[in-house]
Amino acid sequence: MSRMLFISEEGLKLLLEELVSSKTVIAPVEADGYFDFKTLRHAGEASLNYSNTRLPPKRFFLPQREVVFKHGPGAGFSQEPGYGFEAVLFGVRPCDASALSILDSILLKPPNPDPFYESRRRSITVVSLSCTRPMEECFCNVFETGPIRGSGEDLTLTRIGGGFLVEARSSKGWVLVNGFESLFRNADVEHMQEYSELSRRLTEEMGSRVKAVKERLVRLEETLDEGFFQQAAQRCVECSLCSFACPVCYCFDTEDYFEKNCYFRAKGWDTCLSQSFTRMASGLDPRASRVDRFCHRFCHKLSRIPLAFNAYGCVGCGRCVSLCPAGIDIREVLRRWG
Amino acid sequence: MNRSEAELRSIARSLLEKGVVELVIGYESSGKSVRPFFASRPEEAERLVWNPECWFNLARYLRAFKGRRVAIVAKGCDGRSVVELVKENQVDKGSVVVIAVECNGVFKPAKYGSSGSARRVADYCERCTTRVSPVADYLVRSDNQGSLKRTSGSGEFSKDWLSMFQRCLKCMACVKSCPFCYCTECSIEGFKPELVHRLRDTRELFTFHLTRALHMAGRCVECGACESACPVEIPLTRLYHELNEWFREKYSYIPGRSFEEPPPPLVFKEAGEG
Repeated sequence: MSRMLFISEEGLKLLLEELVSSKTVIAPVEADGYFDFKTLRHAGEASLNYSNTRLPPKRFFLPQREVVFKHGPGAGFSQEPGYGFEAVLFGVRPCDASALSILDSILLKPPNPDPFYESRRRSITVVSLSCTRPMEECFCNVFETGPIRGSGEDLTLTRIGGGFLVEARSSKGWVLVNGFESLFRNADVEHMQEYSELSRRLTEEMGSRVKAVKERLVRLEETLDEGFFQQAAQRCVECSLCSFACPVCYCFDTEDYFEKNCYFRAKGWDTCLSQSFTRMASGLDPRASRVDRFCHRFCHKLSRIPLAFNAYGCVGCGRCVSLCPAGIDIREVLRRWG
Repeated sequence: MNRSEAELRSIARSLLEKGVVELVIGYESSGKSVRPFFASRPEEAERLVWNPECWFNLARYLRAFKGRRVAIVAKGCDGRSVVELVKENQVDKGSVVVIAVECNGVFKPAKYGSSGSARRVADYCERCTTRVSPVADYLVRSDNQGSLKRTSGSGEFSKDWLSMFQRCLKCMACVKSCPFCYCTECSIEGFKPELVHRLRDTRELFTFHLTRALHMAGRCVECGACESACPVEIPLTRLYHELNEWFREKYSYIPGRSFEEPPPPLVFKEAGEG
């Protein structure tokens, strides 16, 4: 753990105001009883009193739809650069921030890193805000992606009495801190005591939820209990909600279209649960049945990504658990195999 | 367990014990909420529940069991779906046993990270006029005699559909939760030809939603499953309700009301066409 700083409640307000006046700041804003990331027009719009945003901040790094290149008579061929605007993404929960570090290891892997994702990762500073009230469906402690500290953030804020503890986690984080030096001071002993007390309380609160044992999960594919998955897959309605609401799911599809005398190639979200994703051009479908596709999603997250990238493909945010219309619950898989 | 739940379980158990059906499609508890459940053994009937959390329309699963003997736990709107699906040849009338449950309205599911904790009956239920399924082999009466609050007209709400559709993630939860969306390939999924370019821009979302709205006119039973499944709360049922109202005025047809009335699109004749 690096040096801990402290910023008062008042100081954070000032910091946000300063940031909003100089760059794009994206933060949770409340509307109709839900919280969503929006570009702030003024600092007061941001809400800090949220459990988590309805949808993860994934779309700022992997937009639902983006043009990757265009070509046409007169226009030649041009690769669309990602939009590399300088922005601060404020108030990301540690689980969602950790999802970014998992995406980093997958999408930035040499020799072919995704240039669009890379440019956005470079230009967006991620400021996380620790969870102090985990929801019933949260299980980030299982994957050590929260509740206080994740792994993909540039700056981690933790609310304690009178203000926030601040930990810079990357050079981008230090740039932000150094730019507003006067607002921060070193954390003192009482702050640190409060921090460890919070950490102890949260560990206790979330400790007994579910667990993940990597040695068992990596063998999930060989030890699949057909009955269990068949029963759950029978309920699955094959929408894409779980994948689209997942901070880690990154599968994509491409589409070519013609407009204004130009050919465009667009890239956008897709889901492994959909038959149109697995079916190949020849008509061959390696995962032709719903059960196959259903098992694949869990095996990919809990066994194949860990084997290839040494991190789980799930951060325990609980969105899929809460949003699934058919009540499919990844925690049941963890309870059985974890 | 309440009285109606006990009654439901005993009906389901006896249907499975006697082998009348091979499966009872119902709801089971999933901790905080409920979820669809397929009971195939008599002892599994004990897991069935019935309460205002049961918002999902189970008739959506019937097409997967076409030709097989199944029973379904049906609210008023679910029962209307069965009727309409029979008329559209998607469900065999004789093979489905309907266990009707009297419904006083359901709650919209509490979604991830919602700040409000007060649960109230979904607004599409306030428009409902069918508390009991029009088709019933068994009827389970409600425990409490609560009545549905009916609102006249549509009340005040935003009709800025374009901005509401712009929230759409194209996750298809609305389509996939709907009993009437049984197209093998949806307009939004099709590649040959591409009717909707999923990855182009928001105009395409409008095309998709209007296509779906037109397909729902005069067929939608307003069960609200699409709206409740929607992660970004697009009030789809309101849109389909307006189309249904127009359809009712024009053809005096209410979807799912009875087996006898043929759906107008199936018997529609152009002027002078005999």
